[in-house]
Amino acid sequence: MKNKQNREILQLKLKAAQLRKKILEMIVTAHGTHIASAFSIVDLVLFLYKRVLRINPKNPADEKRDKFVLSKGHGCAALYVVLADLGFFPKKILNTFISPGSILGGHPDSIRIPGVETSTGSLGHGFPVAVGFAMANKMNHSKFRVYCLVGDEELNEGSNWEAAQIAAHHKLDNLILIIDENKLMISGFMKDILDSLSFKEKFRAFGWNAVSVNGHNFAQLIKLFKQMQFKNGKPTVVIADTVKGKGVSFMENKKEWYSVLPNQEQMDIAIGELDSRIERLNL
Amino acid sequence: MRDAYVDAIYRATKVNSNVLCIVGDIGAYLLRHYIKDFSANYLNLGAAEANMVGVAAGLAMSGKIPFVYTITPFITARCYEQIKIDVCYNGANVKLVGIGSGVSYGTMGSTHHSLEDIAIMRALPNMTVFSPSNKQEVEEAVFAAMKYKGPVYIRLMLTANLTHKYRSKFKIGKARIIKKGKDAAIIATGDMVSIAIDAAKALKKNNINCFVVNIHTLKPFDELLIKNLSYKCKAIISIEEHSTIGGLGSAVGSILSQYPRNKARFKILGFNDIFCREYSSDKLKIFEKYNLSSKHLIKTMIELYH
Repeated sequence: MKNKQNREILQLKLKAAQLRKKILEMIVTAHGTHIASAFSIVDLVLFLYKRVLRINPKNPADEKRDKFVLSKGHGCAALYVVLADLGFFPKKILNTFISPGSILGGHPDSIRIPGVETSTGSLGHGFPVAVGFAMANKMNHSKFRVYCLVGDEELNEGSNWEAAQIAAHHKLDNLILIIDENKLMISGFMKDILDSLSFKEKFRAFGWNAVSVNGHNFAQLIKLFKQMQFKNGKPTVVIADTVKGKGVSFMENKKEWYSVLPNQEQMDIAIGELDSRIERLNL
Repeated sequence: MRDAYVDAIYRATKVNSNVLCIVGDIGAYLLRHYIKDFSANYLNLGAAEANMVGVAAGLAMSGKIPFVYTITPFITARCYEQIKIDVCYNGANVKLVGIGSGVSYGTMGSTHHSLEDIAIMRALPNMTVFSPSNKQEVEEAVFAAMKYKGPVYIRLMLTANLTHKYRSKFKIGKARIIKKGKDAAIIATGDMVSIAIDAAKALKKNNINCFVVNIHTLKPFDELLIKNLSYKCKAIISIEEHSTIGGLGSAVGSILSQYPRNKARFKILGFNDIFCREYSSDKLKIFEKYNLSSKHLIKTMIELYH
């Protein structure tokens, strides 16, 4: 049992490293942006799709499915590589990222991309829509759940706190909010610009279950999601401690990497770091 | 129109159990029978409109048909980006219902007025805009919205003075000619329709025989009718309880100016890029102050026509 889990964790780590490499190549080739944001969440998105969500990539509109909402739409490169890996659309579409005619834009479009539940990009939109999904599941007596990933800066937006009130009042224990707490805003650190204080205390005061986890640690994530009860009449927030730019040493925790692209030399170093990690995990 | 909406949403829910009546904490007394008979279809999401529209989009994308009802500025301007993205960009089947549009809340001031809602709602791709003129059209608009798959905005007034009975079928995007005319036309929407009818009666005595047209659907617009009128009529006036920017008049003007056969003179009447700072529980007194009375309409038509 233990061995099986260790093997699974190793596979997730390997896949995450491979997907980081794909994200980097995809964004750099297309002259895109938001590498660091995608690196911050790719472990969480991969984990949810591989381990948690009950979905069918061959039938994205299956009524019997869990729903995932990427509220921080700018991290979409992480979602795209995971959706392609699972077969929601062919992997070769990733090579068309943000090009004319592509379905894959700089923010996800629900009308065009199989598996995207709602269009996001402007902050503070995904969470209320996810509340609507969860509410509909309750009305329909559906056992399926709704997972929504928001950024920590995104929680500056007031619409989220309107959603948090309503979710608790309506006892949406089928709703799981995951906060990507990488502690960086566009202009610098949250604590210096707009201190979010304790999300755990805030959400508990709003009537939620609140738990913390390391958002890059698959063993912790597996353990946490196994323990989750989903039955006490409260929505749950998972506060994931993450590192913006995680996976490439010089991009980690640096506001400068919010939107810039690496030059050739930096690209070689980044690919080198990811390749050696892939090699190590492949052994 | 409030009572008519309450009756209509009750009947709509009776025929389609996917219909939801969502409110931003208003109408509890009027909706008491609905709440009693359809408690599972009723949601009061409080005074939190941005969230309310996002939630409605989520419900709609799960197969529900949410009608989201509150005072017009709060269901249009306040949550505009939610309407743009969560509803229109997603193509979600949400019906937004604004009550007390224009200056209906005559004593409450500009915070409760909506003189820009047509402009901003019309500008959104995928959005359909209804503006009923009486109780009959409220019911027709609600049922048309329920049957139509896609975002709809319904602009309601508080009261409905117009007792006219429409015999033609309500068709989305097809205007209703209330009175046939010959050489002039008054194009109106909402409460302005009854003012247009009054003015047309008086104008007949002045030998100006006006068409009176009720635009119950502001988008899609009945382009064909406007084009037909434009070469039959010497003068056309549009009148609306809305800004002269971006509303009914702009829609008519856009058609006329792009139509080569147009030979009609044209004038837009509405609130002329101004906040309404007059107070009265009688809307007609406010119309008087802003040159939107039938008297002013008559005068304007005579000047334009001659």
